[in-house]
Amino acid sequence: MKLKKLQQEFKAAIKNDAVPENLNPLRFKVYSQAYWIRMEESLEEDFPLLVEALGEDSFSELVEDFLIHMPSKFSSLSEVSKALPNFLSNKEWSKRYPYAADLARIEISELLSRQSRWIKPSDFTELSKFSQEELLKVVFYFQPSARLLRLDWSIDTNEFARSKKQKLFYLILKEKCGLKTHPLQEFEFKILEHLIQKDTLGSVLEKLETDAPLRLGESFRKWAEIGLFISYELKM
Amino acid sequence: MHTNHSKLKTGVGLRSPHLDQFLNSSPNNVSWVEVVAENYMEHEDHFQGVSIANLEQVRSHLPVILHGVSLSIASTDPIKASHMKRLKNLIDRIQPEWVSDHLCWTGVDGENLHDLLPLPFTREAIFHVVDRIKQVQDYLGQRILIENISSYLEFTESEITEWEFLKEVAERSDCHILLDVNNVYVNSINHGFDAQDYLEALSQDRIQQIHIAGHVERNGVLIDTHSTNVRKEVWDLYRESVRLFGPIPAMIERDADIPEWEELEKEVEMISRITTEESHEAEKVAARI
Repeated sequence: MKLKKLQQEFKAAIKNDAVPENLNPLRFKVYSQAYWIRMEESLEEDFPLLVEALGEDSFSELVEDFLIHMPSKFSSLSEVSKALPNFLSNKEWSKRYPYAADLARIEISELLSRQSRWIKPSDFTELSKFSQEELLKVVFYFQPSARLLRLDWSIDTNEFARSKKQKLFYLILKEKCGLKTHPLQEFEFKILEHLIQKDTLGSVLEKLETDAPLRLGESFRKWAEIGLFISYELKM
Repeated sequence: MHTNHSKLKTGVGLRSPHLDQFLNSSPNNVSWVEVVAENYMEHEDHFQGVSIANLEQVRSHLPVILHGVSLSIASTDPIKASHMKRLKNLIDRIQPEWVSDHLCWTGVDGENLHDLLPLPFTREAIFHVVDRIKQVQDYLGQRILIENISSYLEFTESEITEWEFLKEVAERSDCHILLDVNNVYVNSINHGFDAQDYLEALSQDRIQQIHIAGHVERNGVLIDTHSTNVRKEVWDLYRESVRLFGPIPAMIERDADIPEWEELEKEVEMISRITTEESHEAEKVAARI
């Protein structure tokens, strides 16, 4: 048998828990069982609350469904987890567990934020001397740990079934003292969502069709205080 | 800056539970560490975790070797350009002593099963793997090391022995070998061959590094778990490899049920002890001649 065909059949057999012809079934099972165990353990490690919310059997079912529809194309297992929240938004899983995608989003965002480095913010005192016209041309650089979350559910981690449908906006940030979750107003979320893409403040306000920079003063002071921005640049 | 390789004695696979011991100094008997390359490579979406800063700190005072698990050198898929680019970036940043991966495939048709899967030992596989090792070496601008894997089944398609396959791949591609003596032992029991035959077939000048690890037995099959202390039979095989090949940088791999550093350190000391004993023995024999 040609090498390519042998590999394709071997892979299919691992995923379908079947045994290819001419191979010892007991020995082959070492590979097929190890595959599912390894993938499930890795996802369990990254989503402990989701395991708790779904229960172990449903979580195993989820892992199987996820890997059938979205097999890993990544070099490392840690990258596989990033696709799980979106997969949970699909029709079947969101019907069974409507809050699960948001819960997974929170868990992966916290994990990635925790794994990011903290950078000492630059001095922002010069920024206060900028004219309003100049401020509109500023691009802000964020801490690598900054994660913005738009959720549809307020999740009750003590009793998941009591989770309520509610629009919520958060900023997750690794600060000098550790990981923090900050609630955001919807307009703050929308502004940060664009700023993090390196849009200037002026173009963000234009996109959002708002001229409410006055409302932003307090928000910017708060974000500077928690060290959200590490530096800025005036785009001429 | 690279270290004179003769200064690399005993090492260890550095895993996160023991990171603190290595950040600012190195424990006795450890002259280098090996890390899993994929744990430090930038993600496909360019996410770069904080762990790279820790690795840079370790690298500032200790030689580092990068050991890959997802190169999938024997896969019939094209070599993944994004993987190679990210590996090259990591090499440029860390300046490892060398880079290694496994003589195996981890997936096909774009998928990664995240396992080290076995090959049939055929002429077709030799030519395929040799061509790919050459491509990787050309891209990285350096020779790589390939490691023999443990396996739990054999293919009826195989035309030669595992050691003949390994030797021919290394010679034709002009790469080095990372010899895992635990894998040799595990395969010798699982497939019923003499581990001594395996070692004796290899050329000393190809072997640049040795792995030593623990395994378990399940339903009559030895499984390479890296979850236990090294078994006596594997230590004996390591001793034999020092007799045959002389002192080569050797290390302990422990990836599951990782003990406190003090316990793992005993195994590192065991490598040093065996290497010293066998080297003295070799000197005595040489003096007699």
